[in-house]
Amino acid sequence: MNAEAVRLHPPNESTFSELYQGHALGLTRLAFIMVGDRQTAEDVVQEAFLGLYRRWSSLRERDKALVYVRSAVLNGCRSALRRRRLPFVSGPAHVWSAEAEVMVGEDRREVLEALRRLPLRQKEALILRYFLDLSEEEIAAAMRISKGTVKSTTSRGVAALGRMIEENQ
Amino acid sequence: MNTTEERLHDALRAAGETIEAVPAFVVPARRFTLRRIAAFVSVAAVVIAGVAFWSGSGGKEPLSSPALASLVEPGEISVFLCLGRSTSNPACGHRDATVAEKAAIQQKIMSLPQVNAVEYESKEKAFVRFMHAFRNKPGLVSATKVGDIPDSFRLRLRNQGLSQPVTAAITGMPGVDQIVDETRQRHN
Repeated sequence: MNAEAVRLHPPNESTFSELYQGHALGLTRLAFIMVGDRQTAEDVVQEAFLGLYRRWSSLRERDKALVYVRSAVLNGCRSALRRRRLPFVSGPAHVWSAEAEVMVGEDRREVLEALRRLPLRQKEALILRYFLDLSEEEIAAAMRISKGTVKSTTSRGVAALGRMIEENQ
Repeated sequence: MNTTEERLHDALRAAGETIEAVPAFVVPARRFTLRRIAAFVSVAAVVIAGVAFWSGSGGKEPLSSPALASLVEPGEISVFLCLGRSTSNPACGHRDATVAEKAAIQQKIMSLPQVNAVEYESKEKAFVRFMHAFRNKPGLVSATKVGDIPDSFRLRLRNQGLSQPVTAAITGMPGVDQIVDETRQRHN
């Protein structure tokens, strides 16, 4: 890459695409777990990275960029879920594609269905913690809440999940 | 006995893995039109002519190119990966494409500027799609099993005329069994 390219907006191609290559898949999986259908999940993540691309001049630092896309993905998922609750949108809240059903056994689906019934914040905290393996600090930044709230939300979520699964036994 | 956290972690990982790849990042002039899944799963358009090549042999024979081609959507390129038990390509060495080989192929695909979107389709998913596509032909479906159709990468290009450099770049990579190019009109 020559000096000319570095001075150009849009973003430094290699850094942005490294971020994309490194994180788009994980975030798409996260969004899929949140919203339940693949197309929406892909759209949410693409939108998030598009937002990052447009704001690159202020988000050039890797940490800031990651916080941004994670928050953007969470917000995108929230919007998608809200739209789905509108009265004129029909269909089940979550659709397992035929292929996903083949690959994810019934036992695991039970856990995921219970997860989906949790309050939104608990669901988000648990997915960030147990799927993306983010630290409390990273979760706090992505969800824009305090570390203390992350801690309490996570433990409540785990407890509630445990109860729901037990009730189904 | 698994704790709730362990079960959750396990279930989330499994759910996540149903997505194997993401499209290449596109700065849209128009939004995502080429990536619409509607085209991907619209298997009603699958060429039925390929049916003649699916024999009732119980899947012991490797799939011929025309048979695989019947599963490839118009406008797509499918890169079928080596699957030891069903490939006839000697370059596969009678073994499955390794994880490293698949990663290298994916990396290569994602580096090609002509590629607009790439999706990994596992053999299980391909089988489900095949079952749906040929649901009116139960004899055919019962003669085929998971593994007759290998794992593949499904590619969509920015411009359908650009397939030659793409197929040239991927041909011969370790782990690649066949490449089926449905971007042009078939002249047969």
